[in-house]
Amino acid sequence: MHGDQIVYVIISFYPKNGRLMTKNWRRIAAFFAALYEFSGFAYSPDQPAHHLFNTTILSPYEQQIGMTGNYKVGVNEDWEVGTQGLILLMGRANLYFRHRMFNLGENQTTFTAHLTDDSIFRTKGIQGIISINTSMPLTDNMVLTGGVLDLINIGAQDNFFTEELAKTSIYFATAALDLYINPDWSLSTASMLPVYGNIELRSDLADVKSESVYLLKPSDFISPIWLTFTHTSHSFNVEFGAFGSLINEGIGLIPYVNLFWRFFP
Amino acid sequence: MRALMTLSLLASACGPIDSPQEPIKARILASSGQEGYRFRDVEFSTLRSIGPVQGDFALVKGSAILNLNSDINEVIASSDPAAIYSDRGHGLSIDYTLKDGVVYPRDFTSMAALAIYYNFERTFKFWQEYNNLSIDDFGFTTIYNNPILKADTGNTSTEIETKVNAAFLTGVRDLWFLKKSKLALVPIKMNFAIMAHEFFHSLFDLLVAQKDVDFYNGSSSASFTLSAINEGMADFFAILVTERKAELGESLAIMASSRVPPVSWFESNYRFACGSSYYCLGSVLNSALYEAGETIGMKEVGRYVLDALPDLRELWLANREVSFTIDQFLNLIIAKASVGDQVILCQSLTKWFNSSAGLLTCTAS
Repeated sequence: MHGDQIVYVIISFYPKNGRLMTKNWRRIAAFFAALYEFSGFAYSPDQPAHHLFNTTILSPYEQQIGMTGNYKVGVNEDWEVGTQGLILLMGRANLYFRHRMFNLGENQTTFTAHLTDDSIFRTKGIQGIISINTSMPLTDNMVLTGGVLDLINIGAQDNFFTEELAKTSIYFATAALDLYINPDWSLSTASMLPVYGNIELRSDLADVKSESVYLLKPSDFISPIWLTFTHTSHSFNVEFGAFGSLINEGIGLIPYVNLFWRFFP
Repeated sequence: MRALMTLSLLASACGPIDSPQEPIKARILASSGQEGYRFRDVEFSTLRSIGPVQGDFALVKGSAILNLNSDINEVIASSDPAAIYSDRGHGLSIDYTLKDGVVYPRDFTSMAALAIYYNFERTFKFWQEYNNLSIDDFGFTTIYNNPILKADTGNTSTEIETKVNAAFLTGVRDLWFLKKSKLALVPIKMNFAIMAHEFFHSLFDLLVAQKDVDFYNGSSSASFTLSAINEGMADFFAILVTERKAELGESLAIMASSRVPPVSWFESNYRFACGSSYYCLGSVLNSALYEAGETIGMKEVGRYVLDALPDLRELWLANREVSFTIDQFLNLIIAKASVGDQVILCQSLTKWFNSSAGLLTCTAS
């Protein structure tokens, strides 16, 4: 799954004074990373839906590239790798890979990771998404996928004067449904339910460990949701979607449009 | 029979390592007069066990958890251990090697536990000799290594391990030595002066507050002054106990510059030069007493201060809600001094508390 909600990105970072927040590159990079994970969906008999919440792996040598620089390539039947080009241009190394762990008939289990370097000066950091998903076809045109996703953020500083570490990890239970309406149109939707989070901070003055079980009180954390319609053609793919979250018993959605291509060299 | 012999062999192979004989000797990081901190073979005279570390004066415990769910001020002020600790922890046992009768601790926690007891024992023995302190009056002390502060709120559980500090808890009269940090050159929990400082708070609690947690309650300005007096005296007596004024600054550079006398400010400008903490005012008191002690003798000045403590209690109880000032306490000290020493004391106290000139009762001068 790959995508480029360039319109959304511009809207998101176009503040009231009308000036693009070019200095706020870290936030922009984080949003590109999110887009990279949330978008890029396509279907044809040869192009099954492919996104963060399912288990599809590109065929060997098959490549996918999006308007915002998302790139993935199938290595073999069980591996695909990729990167986010714009984040690379911003000076932040990032690596995506997906590995098929089990293949039991129609049921697939994959391990997916997208890790981004978040180092600034002497602070070493890494942000990332790690997930394990298992998919199961419900009908000929509908696939259900369930999984666990870990959103991690680690930062560390260690020099002569200070020693600091900050580690955040939030686990979500995820569920996704891919519905193939016809050879040209498909629908994908996914939701994330926060389950457990832990924060670990270490410094010269104190060590802090905090654990939260969100299942006990889900309102303490937002639940991201995502939905998209994708039209597949021979020349390109276009998707019309929205992502957002369940907030205070309501739903907030941000629409987007995305273009991407999938091809063999 | 063969089975019994096998079991016996197994038991001897897997059994406890050799236990040290009393008096227990150990190689630990400890201060040695003017030489500062070195690894030394020290001898304990009151330590009875190293599994757990326990002696006639104290027990060293670890893994205690402070209950932060209640109001922290109420918790600290409580004399009920059950209200303070959700887990009282357990006695710290030492991982060690015994060589030529000397205990060599194998890890930091083991050395810290031994150093804590050694410094406590040295401090207690000083006060036994200097002020006839008895264990019956003072009470057996529980010393906590690395206590954890824990709060459970709703669906979140948080544990906080603060570092580079030590504390005396009124009410339960426990001592805490917090987690080590890279910031400290000599770990706080191995610093003799810091033990002597915290010990004095316990002694102050005994001699002045008479173990009453409510004693410390007063108006905010009065409480500030009493805290400054308590901190200043604790630093002064730490020098007296360790016989080395630089000892308190061995762990942290900030303490070397702000707590070792003479400091670079006076009562008139301590807020500007140091800050609004009562430690800053306490350092003025410590500097004044230390300067007088250089002429009169530290033990003599210490004696005058100790003699003034019963009067301090009465003074505090009578004025804590209205006007309690540090000058009132300084006058109590001056009144306890011999006529000749009053001149020296007055000179020093007037110099350091120059904004209070005229308020001190310096009749002899």
